[in-house]
Amino acid sequence: MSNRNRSYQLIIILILFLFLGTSGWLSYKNASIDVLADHVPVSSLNELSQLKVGEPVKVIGVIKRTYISKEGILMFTLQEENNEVAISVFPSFGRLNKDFQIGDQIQAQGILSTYKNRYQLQPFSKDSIQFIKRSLDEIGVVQTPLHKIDDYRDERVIVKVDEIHNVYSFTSQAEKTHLSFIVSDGDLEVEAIMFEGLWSEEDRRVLNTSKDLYLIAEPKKEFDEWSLIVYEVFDDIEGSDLVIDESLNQDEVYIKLSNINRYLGEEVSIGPVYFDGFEIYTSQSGKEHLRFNVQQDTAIVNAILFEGNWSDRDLKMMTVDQEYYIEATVDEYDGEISLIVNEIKE
Amino acid sequence: MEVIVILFSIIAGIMTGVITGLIPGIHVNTIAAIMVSLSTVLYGYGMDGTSIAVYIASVAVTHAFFDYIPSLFLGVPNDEVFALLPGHRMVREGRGIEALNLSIKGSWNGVQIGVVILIIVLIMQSRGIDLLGAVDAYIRPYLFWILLTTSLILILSEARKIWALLIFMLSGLFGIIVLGSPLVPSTGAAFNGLFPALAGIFGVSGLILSLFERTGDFPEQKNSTELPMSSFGVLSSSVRGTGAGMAVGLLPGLGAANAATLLLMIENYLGKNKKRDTSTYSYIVTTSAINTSDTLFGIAALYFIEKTRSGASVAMSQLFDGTFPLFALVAVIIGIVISGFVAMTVMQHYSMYIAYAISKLDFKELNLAVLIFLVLFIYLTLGSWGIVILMGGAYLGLLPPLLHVRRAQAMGFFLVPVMLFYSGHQANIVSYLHLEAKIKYYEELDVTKMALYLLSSLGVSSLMYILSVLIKRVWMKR
Repeated sequence: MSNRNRSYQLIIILILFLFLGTSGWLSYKNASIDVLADHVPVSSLNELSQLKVGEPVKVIGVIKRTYISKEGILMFTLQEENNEVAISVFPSFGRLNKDFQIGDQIQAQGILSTYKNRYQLQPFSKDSIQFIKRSLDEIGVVQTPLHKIDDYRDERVIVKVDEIHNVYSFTSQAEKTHLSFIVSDGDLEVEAIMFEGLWSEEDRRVLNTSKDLYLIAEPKKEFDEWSLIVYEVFDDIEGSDLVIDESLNQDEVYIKLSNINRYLGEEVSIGPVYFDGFEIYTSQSGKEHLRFNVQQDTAIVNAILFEGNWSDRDLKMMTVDQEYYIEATVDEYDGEISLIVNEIKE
Repeated sequence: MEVIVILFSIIAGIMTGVITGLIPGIHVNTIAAIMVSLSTVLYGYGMDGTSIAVYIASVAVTHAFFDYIPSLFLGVPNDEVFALLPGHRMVREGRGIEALNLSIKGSWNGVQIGVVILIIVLIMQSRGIDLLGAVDAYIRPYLFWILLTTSLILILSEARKIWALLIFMLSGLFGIIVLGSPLVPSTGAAFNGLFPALAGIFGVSGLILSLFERTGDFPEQKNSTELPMSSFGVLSSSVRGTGAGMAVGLLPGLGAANAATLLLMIENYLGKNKKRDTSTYSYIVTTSAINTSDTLFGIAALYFIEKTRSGASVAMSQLFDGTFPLFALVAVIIGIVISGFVAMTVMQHYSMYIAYAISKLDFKELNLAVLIFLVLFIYLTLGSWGIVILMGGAYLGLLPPLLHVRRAQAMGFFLVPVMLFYSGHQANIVSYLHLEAKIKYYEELDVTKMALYLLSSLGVSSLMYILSVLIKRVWMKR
């Protein structure tokens, strides 16, 4: 080998080592640098419009929607009243420390930006998204059996199902791959769908292999047929941290006033409702009952609180225009549905 | 008023494009980045997103025309060098102007054919047929495999396959590290890690090598308006180049260099380039058409498939908050046509003088001045970590010519991260390799500072050029 060739090879090896050294140094510094901005105060989602795009922000909120693209971009939407911010986590951030789900309260730090007139938060790193607690109650998710999903049309609920079958994926005209399946609870069967971005192969495995599942879903009714748009699937409610607020469990589900005709003779909790047109009525037996109208959206139903069940406190409630919750027995009087109220709660 | 502002943007864009095209090592992306950071100030002077986008597009297309001049006439190696570039061969034969004419024709044809294709696509879209959107949706699930196959073909076509693979993979590793680095502003910022990395790989490495190259005497160039190949030959090469430019303009990760290599391989395979001269002429026309059409379709991708495919389109996306209105696209196309036409006319009439003037410049001193400009400007805008990235990029960029591998293999810098992304396993792989991306907040540079940095870098580098030329001449006289 000539001296010229040898020095040529030495130069190449030297450059190669210089490159590897520089890359290694960069990589080490990348990993060790602290990117979290401690001095940034927590902002409410309602305050986002007052903040400057391009500046660092820290927000706390409950995940209302999640989406995952085929390439692995995770999108969480935090919502508070009418304000929302989307947190987009690119797969280059690596595997997240936790499998974040709808109802998780999280704290996220990142740079505020806008995309198509919507706020986005570009997190600093995977560690800048921190789990606080599971709080499905904050987004008003209640649990219901499959046969009562008609009480929650277009609302997000947790549906308990016994069995799932006919699980298959299909491609829509818009080239999206959705997952379709049928959920059953006893004799009742309802079609369900998980749209692209909402399901993973793990979800398909769980649907194919597990029984007694819990779904976060929106009941839909079209052409007199009920169906479910499913957002999340849980096979192990304990392991999934799916802790439901006791006040919102199945025993204390607040049903809609417009649906009370399905509960004739049953004791139900209804709310939130308003009261209107109250009067104290003396019956033939000389007892004083409190008669009033219960109102929710466009539904109005006659109600009565029998003597002994009402007090001055209840009378005062009738005069204050605010939301209340009632426990009542659904009754029928003169061919009309009415309520025999047992208790009024604030 | 708006028309006047847009016309002003086109004129300013052409002037900037001429300068950036003639100075080796300055990329359009640098100008695009500066324009985005200046946008808030420019809005105050009556410019809007559309006029700034037109300016960037005009710079990009004029740059694509003019950057062939320094690559052709600056630093032509002497005959001892084994592999002369096709254009350099013609310059050594005194036919540099013919080569330039071929490039002008190819570049202008790339603009014309590209615009015709875009108009057809726009008409189809107005009738409810979203052609590019449908193609994008159709190929998206297979993008990983398309990019992997293309990369493998490019690697396997090299004589030194192992070295080519190594450079491709090292470039990919460097891309993952730089694109996810919190040490410099992230890619959303006007000045980010891409600037020093690309300047290092494709600019500084070439400038360093040229300082050690032995350049030959500059042969006298014959003035000619004739093209050394038939009109049909020029047209067919331009069509192929535009097609290839369209493909890489719309696909992620691939660049004009990849398209040129692939096209040359296909032509060689089909036996179209049997004669060495024909092959040289065709190569010049094709690569020039690729450059301009890549610029055009890289921007059009933003409107048709809502994807950023070039530095210019990233800048435009930032100007329009992630969208790109039809009005802006039409204005940009008009800007590109006018800029292309003006660039072609100027080059046709003055190419002889430009070539003469450039050949009179002191090549090595000029390269040294550009090198000083890049180092200084990167240090001022991105700090010491910008310099570390620049050095990493320069080491990487030195390897392909030293190992006799095409420099296009360094496009692994983009291709590997893009392939990882489309594989759907990026999160697992980067976590396994401990190469997770991070972002750090950096304050955006204000305009006064940026102008100061730019002017001081230009001033110092110009002074260095003048000084080094003076010293050299005094030394030679002695």
